[in-house]
Amino acid sequence: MRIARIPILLVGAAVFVGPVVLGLGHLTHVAWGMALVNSLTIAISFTVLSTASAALAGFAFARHRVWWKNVVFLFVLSTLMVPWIVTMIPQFVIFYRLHLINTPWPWVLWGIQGTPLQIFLFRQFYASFPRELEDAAAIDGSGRLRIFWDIFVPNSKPIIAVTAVWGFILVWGDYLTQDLFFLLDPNGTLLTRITDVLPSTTQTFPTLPLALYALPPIVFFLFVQRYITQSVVRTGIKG
Amino acid sequence: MSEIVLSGVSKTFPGGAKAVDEISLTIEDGELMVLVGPSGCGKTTLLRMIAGLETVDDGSIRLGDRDITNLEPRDRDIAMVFQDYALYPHMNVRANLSYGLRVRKTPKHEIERRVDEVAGLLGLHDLLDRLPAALSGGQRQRVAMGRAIARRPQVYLMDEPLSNLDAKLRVRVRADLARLHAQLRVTTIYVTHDQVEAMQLGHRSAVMRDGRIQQVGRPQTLYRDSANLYVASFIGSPSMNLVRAELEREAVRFAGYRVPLDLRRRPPAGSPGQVILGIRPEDFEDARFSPPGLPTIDVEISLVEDLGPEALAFFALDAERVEPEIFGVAADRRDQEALMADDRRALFSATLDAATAARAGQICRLTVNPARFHFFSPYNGESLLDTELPDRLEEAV
Repeated sequence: MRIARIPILLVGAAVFVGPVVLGLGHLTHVAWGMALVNSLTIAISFTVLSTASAALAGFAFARHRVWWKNVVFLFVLSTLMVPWIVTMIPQFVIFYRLHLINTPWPWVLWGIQGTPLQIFLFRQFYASFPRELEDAAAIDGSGRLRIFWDIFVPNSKPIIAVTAVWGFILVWGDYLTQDLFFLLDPNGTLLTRITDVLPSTTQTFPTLPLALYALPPIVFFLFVQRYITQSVVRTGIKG
Repeated sequence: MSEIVLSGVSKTFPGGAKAVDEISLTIEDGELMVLVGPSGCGKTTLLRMIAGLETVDDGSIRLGDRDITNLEPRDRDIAMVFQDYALYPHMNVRANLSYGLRVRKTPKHEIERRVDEVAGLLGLHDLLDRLPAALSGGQRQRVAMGRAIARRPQVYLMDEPLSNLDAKLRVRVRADLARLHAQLRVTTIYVTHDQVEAMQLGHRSAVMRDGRIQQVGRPQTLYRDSANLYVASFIGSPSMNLVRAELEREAVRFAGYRVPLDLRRRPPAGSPGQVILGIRPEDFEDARFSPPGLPTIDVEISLVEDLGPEALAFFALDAERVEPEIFGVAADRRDQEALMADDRRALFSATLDAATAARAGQICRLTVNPARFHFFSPYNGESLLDTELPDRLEEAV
């Protein structure tokens, strides 16, 4: 049964993912195609990675029993007070020297790092998570990571939805970083390409491309918003 | 063998509160041991220490021939039923029941067999595909119990599993629990603050207070031969009547009465003349309904509560009230005495035959049973009788 699943999955992957990959490959030949690929890559990778990273960090800050965790947490929060623009130039220099300019890699690394706000949100959510569920899973035989994956993650849909939408919008609408870190790439990202063709006067402002550009986050939000209001975590507790 | 041996187990919380204070206790293989005491007495902390959810500061815990003092919860082979059930809210009943088995990589057919078996045992077959949110309180309770049973651990730990059920359901589930234990014969530690539950469930109960065990024994031992004033007041409802008394060679004097002693049940010679006399409400009876030969006292009834099968009569004695608080006595007794807060006299209660003619304001003749008297030291509240005798006799037989 378990072994039979693997070929089925492989065939399924070939059938469904194949055209997508081919289509994306084709995109690179279309005008602005590469810009779209870049935009989607940085936004999606940052969203997925930063949410996963912040969930793990929030879990540790909320539930790990070590005395110094609050000191570290305060340190993480205090980075919120450093204006992001201040670290921009040094980061550019670092990524330039690592030859990661004009690639999506900075966003991947920022994603792995997580953001203080997302970590904060996860920590607050997990701090009020019923302790009994964790205890019950520990007695049932789960280790800490297994408890996180089996118990905490499935019950954190609202907070995952919030932080993911927030992360996506953070990257999708961030013109300055994209312009800077794709500085030497003629393809750029969708956002930098759209603004490149904007005329210098506002009389004939091309609203259509910008309106279209705003669609993905809206679709994403509509897709996850049902989770945001949903909270079932306490329903296993009490009568 | 899954005998649990606690030796000198202690736990101090940060801030200096001593939650569990050098507890030594042996729970025998297959026994249902009840830890009972008011909230804050350390019973739940002790249970969580046995589960591995709290660290042990001092002492050791053995399970069978293993020292489990510092093991992770998952390596102890125990299961726990939580007060709030703690069902996994995103898993249906089947997944809840089998989670512990899946984590331990039990073969699939074995998991199915055990879930089926537990569902049959607890009547959960129709609920297997429901989420906890779609279950009633009693059903959730059964799933929580089933999750523990499906694992087939060496020991069950139960933390007030009935406290969230309504009164009628509680009685039923309690009976189910006793039946289950008789069927499974697995060592069980059961925590409750309800002395009635302790009396009905336990092979043995350990009465706890301030992190210490006051007395361990069978329900009848705790009731008939309480080791100290604390246990005497905690066990039994309504609680034991207490009054200062003077011990003579063959009688006891209290509040102007002189009642002859039962010589088989009196403090050993050399006990102090001043004692605290304890009489359970059940050991009074309306003289018209009791067998002849028992000593009587005449009292003025101040209140009669008709409970249906029996009547509860209250009367004040011409003696100062014993303040059992100095020995740290259970809360429900204080509540009861608050009724008569303006009166410094001792307030006694007596459970009488429902047909009693006793009415408030009238004089009534009651019999007392000296074979059931309790005597406590007025200095430290310890019983002056040999309270361990009945258990020792039983062991000898």
